[in-house]
Amino acid sequence: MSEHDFSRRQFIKTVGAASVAAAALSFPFIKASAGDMQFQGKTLRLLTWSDDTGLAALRNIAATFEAKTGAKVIADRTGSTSEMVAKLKAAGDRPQYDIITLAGVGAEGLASAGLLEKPDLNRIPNLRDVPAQYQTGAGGHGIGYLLWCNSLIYSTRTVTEAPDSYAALWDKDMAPNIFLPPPNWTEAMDLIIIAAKLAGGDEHNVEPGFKLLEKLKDRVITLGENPNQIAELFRTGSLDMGGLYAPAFFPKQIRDPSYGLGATFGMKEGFYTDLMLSVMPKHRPGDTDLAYAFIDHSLDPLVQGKMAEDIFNGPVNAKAIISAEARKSPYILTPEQISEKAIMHDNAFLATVHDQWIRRYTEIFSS
Amino acid sequence: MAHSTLTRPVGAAPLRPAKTISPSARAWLFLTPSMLFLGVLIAASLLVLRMSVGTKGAEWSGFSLASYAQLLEPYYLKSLLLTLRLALVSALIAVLLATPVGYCMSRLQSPLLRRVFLAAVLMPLLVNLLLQSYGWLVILGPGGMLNQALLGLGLIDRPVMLLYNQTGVLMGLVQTAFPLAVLPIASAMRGVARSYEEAAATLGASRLQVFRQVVLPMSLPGIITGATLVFAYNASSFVVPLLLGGRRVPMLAVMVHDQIAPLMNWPAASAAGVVLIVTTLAIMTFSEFVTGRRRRILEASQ
Amino acid sequence: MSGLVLENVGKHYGSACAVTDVNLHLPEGKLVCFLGPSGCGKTTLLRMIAGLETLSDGEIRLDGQDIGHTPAHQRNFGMVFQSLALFPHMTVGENIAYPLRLRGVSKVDQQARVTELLQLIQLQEMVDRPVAKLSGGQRQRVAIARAIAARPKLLLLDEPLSALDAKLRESMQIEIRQLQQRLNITTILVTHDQREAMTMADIVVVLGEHRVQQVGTPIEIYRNPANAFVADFIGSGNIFPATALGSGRVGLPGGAALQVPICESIQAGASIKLLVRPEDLQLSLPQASAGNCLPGTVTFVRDSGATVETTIECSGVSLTALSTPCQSIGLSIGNPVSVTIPAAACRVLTA
Repeated sequence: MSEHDFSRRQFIKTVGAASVAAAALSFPFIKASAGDMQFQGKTLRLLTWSDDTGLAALRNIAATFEAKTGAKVIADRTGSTSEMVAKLKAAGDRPQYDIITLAGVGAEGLASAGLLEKPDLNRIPNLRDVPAQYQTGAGGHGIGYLLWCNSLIYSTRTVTEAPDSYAALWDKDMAPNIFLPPPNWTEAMDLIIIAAKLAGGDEHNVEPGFKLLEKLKDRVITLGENPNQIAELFRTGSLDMGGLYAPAFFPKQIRDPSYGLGATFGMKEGFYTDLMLSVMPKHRPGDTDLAYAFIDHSLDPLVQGKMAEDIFNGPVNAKAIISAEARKSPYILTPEQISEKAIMHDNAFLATVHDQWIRRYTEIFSS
Repeated sequence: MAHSTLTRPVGAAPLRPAKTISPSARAWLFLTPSMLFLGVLIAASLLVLRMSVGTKGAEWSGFSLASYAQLLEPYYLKSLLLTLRLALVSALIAVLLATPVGYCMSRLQSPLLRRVFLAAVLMPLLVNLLLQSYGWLVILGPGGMLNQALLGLGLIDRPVMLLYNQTGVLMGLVQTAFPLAVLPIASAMRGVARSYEEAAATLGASRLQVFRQVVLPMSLPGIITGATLVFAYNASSFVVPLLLGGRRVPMLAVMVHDQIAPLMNWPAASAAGVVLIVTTLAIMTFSEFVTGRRRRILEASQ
Repeated sequence: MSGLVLENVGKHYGSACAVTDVNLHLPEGKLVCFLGPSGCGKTTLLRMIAGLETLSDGEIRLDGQDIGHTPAHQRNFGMVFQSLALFPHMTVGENIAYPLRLRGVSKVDQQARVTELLQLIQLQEMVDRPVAKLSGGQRQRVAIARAIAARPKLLLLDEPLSALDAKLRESMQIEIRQLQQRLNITTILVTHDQREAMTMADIVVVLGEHRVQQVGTPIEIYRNPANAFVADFIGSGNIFPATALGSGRVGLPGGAALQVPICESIQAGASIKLLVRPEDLQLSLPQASAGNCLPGTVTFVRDSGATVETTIECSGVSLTALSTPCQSIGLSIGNPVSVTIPAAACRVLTA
């Protein structure tokens, strides 16, 4: 039995070393701070998304953190924000995780259930470079992690020039077949506000927006719940445009010319963004210094730039380093673009109208 | 027993050491694992029931019937009716399609062929639903094979939308629940011995008459079981309307999901779930009530 | 020719032969019994007549018309299955009316015919019962009533009584036979029970080894079996080898000689088989052997109350004699005995 255990442990060690080596090779910058192995032998337990963003976090954040500090990151990639909330609530005061990255709504739910610790901002030096509105969320219980930014998605085959206004969605010559976000997504709420503004209203006067949305009904192929299906519909030429939708859903497909998939943040009305947060549950199993170090590392300018280039998320760090090559892309966001055009959700306000808006949206587009 | 001396010499050792466990206790012991499993499921349902009368944020301590009152709004009533209608129509279509398949399966002589048939019928259960939805997309999507063919033949000039509407959901519901209809029907038809068909034939019934007047009525319990299973299964369908409805077919389970994410309104979600369960059970009970007599007669004779 | 005629009828499944080379004429109004051991092809033959199996060879004609390839539902034959196959989803009355309903008979006429048939089988009060509520014998009668409701040209019975207990079976045999005679309907009965065949049939067709072995009245078949197969299958008999000695004499293996009816076709010196029915043997206390009276030794006695069966070792053959208790001379194992084998009771069978 002990022999079996031994070989198993040996195997894990080998794999761990290999992945760190691989990470070190692809991230030469970590050498600068390497050698500071202050967390050698310690373990951090991370809960993150199961999608490409979660995967990129392992590559760009967890692996480099391990290489830099010697700590070990055990990541659990579990579904969506609501699944993470359910998991945390079920664990009560004995959480299995040190850090959780999730959407603002989820963090608020956990904070109101009294499950989160308020982090000490002074222990996160990189936060100095983060604009005030992105520093914290969920009443100070979460630290800004990245910006989930919603673009217009379009077919590079039928839409020759990237649209510069959301009004393009209503242009049936430009885009006969469109998709919209599903009603339960925050993206749908943003779309309602955009429509309201296009129709001369605003978030407190959304009725004109719903009227305008009704005009889209016959051209809406689907309310895209599943990004892969959306990509497939673009590939087969069944869709011309759609949104709001994050390009972060399609990091692979956007790079693959056979999909003819384009995305843009260049709308004159700006683009909506949702602050994703890192939170620390109370009664964490691991080391507190380590947890702070991890949060700080995730805000490192290099790491933030890497995440932005890799999966098209918006960096929260105003000094995030984006390469000159990446700056040419319409869907890789620079700190400058964010400070100019990003519009933050008013989550507190949305919470009061969410239920009603979901209903209206569902009713408008029910087939 | 007074007669035991006849069969066993007095004073002889019993054949086995006497067991202290009574037969009924042994039966309970045998049932324990499954009872535990079912117990957990029932407990989960009861928790849902409790949450449905809680309030948002105080699911376990609050008490309010507001979640049920909310379900009386047209938004939810429409969804409930849509759900029941799609479940019912899908059950009818599934049974209509499954009956010839079940008959064919029940009359196959070769065990190999029967197994191949069974595997083909079970396919939808074996293939991941997400994968199947891509299959549907490739065939029925606006740029899919069917539309390409119809466009190529000049039969249509715009792609027909077969997905992301009720038609698509209905097809998906029928397809995914098809085995649930075929298996009880095939099994019921296998129970209709060949000699009944032959007897009807010698009495003057054509093949069609034999099928309609003998095989169908005699396998009616299986057909009803199939229809009921498909109905119950599809009434709670979530993935199919999500993947094939393009979120434009608001079946109740999807609404329940909306209540949980992003609204985190557990009481509302639970209440919708409870209503769905109760409605489905009521309809199943009704169908059992209507067909129970015939079922008992057929069972008594077999 | 009127009635049912089978000509060179055969059925093969691939290379396996179920039944072959059947030539029969079934006269109108008679009850014909297909009798044979299981697997002899008798049920296959009946199913071919019913139209439930296709013919591999030959022709079936009814009143001169070829019906060999007419579908079952167009033949207008009534058939009673071994399982009876009464429809459980119909009442007794609906079952009986079913063939009439299929023929488009009006409801009133259906009802009249059902009443008439229920009277015939004495189940008038059962008309609205589900068949599941009937006893075995009642179901039997309903199955027959249903089969004859549409006045079929032929009634086919496939071992219809095999599911009943012995006592009920015997009374049903008589009931069916009386019904058949009253209605004067041509009937074919398939059975493996020779007693049933003897009780009911006008003509017995003995089938064995996939072909017809003999056709005749029950008594003909019993008294004059055409060959060793029939002799062995019908009734119990003493069949033993012997050698023809010429002029009606045969030699037994133990050396003794017997006088038997003269059989012209058999040459002296040929090996033959002899059949003697047990009830034809007469036992007596030992006496001088003379003519067909031979000495023997009792090897077994089975006294079943109604009859006494005595097995005797006699000139190299084992013979069983059947006697009534009052004929019995009180023999037990080991006793010497004299056996008289009347010449007229001996049947010479070609081996």
